[in-house]
Amino acid sequence: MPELDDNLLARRAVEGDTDAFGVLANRYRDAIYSFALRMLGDSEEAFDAAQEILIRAYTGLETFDRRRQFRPWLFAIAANTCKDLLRRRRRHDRVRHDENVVDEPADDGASPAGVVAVVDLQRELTAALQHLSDAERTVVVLKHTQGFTYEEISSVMGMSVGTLKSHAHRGRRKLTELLAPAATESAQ
Amino acid sequence: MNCEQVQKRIDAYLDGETLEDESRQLRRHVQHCPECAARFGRLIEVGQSLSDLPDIAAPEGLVSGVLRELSARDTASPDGPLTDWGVRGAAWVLGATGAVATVGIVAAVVWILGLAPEWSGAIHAAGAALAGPGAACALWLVDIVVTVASACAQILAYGMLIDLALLAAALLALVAWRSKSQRGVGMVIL
Repeated sequence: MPELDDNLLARRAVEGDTDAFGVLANRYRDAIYSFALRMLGDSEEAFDAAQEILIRAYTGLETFDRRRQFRPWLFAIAANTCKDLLRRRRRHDRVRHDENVVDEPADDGASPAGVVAVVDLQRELTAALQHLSDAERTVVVLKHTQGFTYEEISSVMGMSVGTLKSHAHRGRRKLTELLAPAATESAQ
Repeated sequence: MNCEQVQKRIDAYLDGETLEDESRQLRRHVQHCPECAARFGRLIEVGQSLSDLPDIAAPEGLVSGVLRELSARDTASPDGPLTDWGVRGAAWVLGATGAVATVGIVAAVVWILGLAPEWSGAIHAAGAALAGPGAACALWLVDIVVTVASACAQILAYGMLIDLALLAAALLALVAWRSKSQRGVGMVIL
């Protein structure tokens, strides 16, 4: 079943195939968690958010139009969930970034030294991302770390491509000012 | 490619919207032009670093926790999870029924106790007591409103019967919908 495409798995899940949703959830768990962590800047909140995203995805599967792609639909849920959490956090006047969190990159066979460099860069970038506006951060993360096109992000966020580009350009320039040279050098 | 062209195309380059040949020319210019290197070198590095970031491994238990949660919901609701449509539909039907019932009951109480004529009499008395024509006109307007409300109350008293019919329809719709929705998540832990 792992080789089946997303939309077929989604259809099976709606029809009551319980294994199918598990396959989908496992397929996207790292991407969803990474997105949530970069949006929220806190590993504990990101974990809760990722669970909430998957639960919302399951309960909303009947509304998924299977003529469209599953991945942008899932990330629309992810973006809205993170937006809700950020709004709730602001209501409670909490600004959080866990400086001590060390998250391992998903296993891609990298050397230990390479893993350390990537973890440092993850931390620096995640911290810097928290200084962007919600819209800038969402676009930058979806575009650069998840590889979405602007057209796909437009369907996720309900904004025009022109507006999204403005957010991305502004966000990148802010990151450039925020990031210490060492952060990007460590990736070289 | 010159400095002006680099400035115009740098965002398109970072957005991945330049062709390979143009990208190569842009990179070459930035490498050899100190001014552009100072202005755009870091921007290119940051864009590249973001794009190179791998996904972070989700902590253990994320998916199994989700499936356990969904399974627990299924146990609590054996006919399957309520969809947004189901929750909203049931809420609308029950809410509308409740609103009509409230209006009907209030109207019936007003009608049965015959309060409207007494209010009307009191308003007439107050109008007579107050000699001012403006006050009298205003009170006559209030009287008209109360009279109309009284007439409506007689009609709406029958609303109690309608309420019962609506409530039965809402419950039947809810039962029918839930029996149709059989989807659920079992105890699958991957």
